[in-house]
Amino acid sequence: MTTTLLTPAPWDDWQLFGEQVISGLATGSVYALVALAVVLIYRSTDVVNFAQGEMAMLVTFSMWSLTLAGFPAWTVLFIGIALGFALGGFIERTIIRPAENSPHLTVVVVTLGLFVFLNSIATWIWAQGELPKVFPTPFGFDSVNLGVARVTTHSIGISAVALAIMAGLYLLFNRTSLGLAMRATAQNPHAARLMGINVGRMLMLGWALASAVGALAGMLVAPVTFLYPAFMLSVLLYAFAAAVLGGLDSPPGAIIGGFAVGVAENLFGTYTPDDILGPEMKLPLTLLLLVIVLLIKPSGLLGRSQVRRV
Amino acid sequence: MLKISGVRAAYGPVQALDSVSLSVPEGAIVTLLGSNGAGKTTTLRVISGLVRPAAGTVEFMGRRIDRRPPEWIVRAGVSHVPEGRQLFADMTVLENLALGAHTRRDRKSVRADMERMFAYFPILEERRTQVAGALSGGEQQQLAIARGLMSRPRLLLLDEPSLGLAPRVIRGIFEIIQQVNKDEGVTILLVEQDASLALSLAGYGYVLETGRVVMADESARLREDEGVRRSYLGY
Repeated sequence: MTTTLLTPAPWDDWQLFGEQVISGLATGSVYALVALAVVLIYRSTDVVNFAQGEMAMLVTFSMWSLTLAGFPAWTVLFIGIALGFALGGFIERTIIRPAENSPHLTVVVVTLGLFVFLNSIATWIWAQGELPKVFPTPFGFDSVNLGVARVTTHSIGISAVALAIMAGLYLLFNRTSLGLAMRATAQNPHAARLMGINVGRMLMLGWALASAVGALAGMLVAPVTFLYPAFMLSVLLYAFAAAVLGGLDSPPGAIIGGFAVGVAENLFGTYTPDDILGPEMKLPLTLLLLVIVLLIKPSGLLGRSQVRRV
Repeated sequence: MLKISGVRAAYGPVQALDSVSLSVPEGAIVTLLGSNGAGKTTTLRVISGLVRPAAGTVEFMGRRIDRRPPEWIVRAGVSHVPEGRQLFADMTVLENLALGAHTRRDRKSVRADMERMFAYFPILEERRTQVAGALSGGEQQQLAIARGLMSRPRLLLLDEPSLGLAPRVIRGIFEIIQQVNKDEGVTILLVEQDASLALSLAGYGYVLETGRVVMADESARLREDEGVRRSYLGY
């Protein structure tokens, strides 16, 4: 008379469970990178950049063209990061800065406009032929047996690159005077100016960094999701969920949120019974999890709601 | 050392300064008196480059600085400790001090200067790893001044260092300001609500009213002045 709610139950197949958790951590590392990019910009300008995913998409498509021209996957990855960096800085200077003193909502709408604009450009240039496009991975798709689970070299590769980037960003922000100046600018731009910090340059650098990180995430996830103009949309959605889950102003929160969302997505996709909900319910279920966390802790897992003496 | 001539400044349609001229000689402590809205803070903001004057000139050590950005002016040797302290509240005392030295590249002497600040303000050394937002008002003001000194300024602009502090704490801070002026040879331009306190510290004072300098004299003479007494000293 016992019916299991979960099909299949994890205790029937630990191997499957392990594989789902590990591949969830791998996609989670991509969500974490995009969430980090969102948090970087949010902290420095109080604006959620809705165009984050489309900026990454544009770079990824450009790099796809490079691979067609015969560039190897690794080279393309590095050029893409550099292009993302330049694109972010350029957008900050030309599109965001003129709206700098407008209300935050105005800037948010500007990023929405940018979203539509970049999407149209990509459709115009690249969506002529067959879609989706195949994007190469520098890591390959060989299967590796880790004992508890079999994973692809691509999963291991993107996790390793993501972790390296996170460590690099941590060192930048906590161990260098440039990072200190960027944090100071994010926290109090007026005071930062009085310290002799070139605030405009720091904001531009923040956008450039965020864009580079986002572009990297796009290029890491494209071999799995394939490439089409809207391919970053679901990634961005999960990344927003991750950023909010972790606390929009907390980089460590974005990373934890990214991994949590990646694993949750996979487990919901695997274990929700087909006859009741089906795997396509994984997005709503993941977002439901987010809503529950926010009900308990409105500022996110590591977000700040500090009490301060004045 | 500092010479302001005919400076006019406005925030949008609101005229804040209407032809202000004043000068601060090297090594001196000079104070700006005036009621709220007289233009004291704006004068400091013009000097540090946060506000661009619509007319007039600001000269520092013989060079014009009134068209320069704040980051240039800090490097030229002017440090502005703003009203309300404007600390980096989520950062530690040490990080705030390091940011004060942002324009400097000589790491070793920055470290030494931090130690000197701890000698002036021993409480900051005790609190060195606490975030600025968790300090008391008096400690925050001390940190703001110490942070301002970390750029090794030749001119220190102090805006309302006594704001919201207990009298005993204020006295301590003013003693340190005096000491810094004497020991380090830092010239000080002080904006202060408490006129009698300001005049006891400064050798010279300017009185601002609605964006104009209406009086300028030695502190002792200003203290004798009937109008100053009635308006700012309250007796």
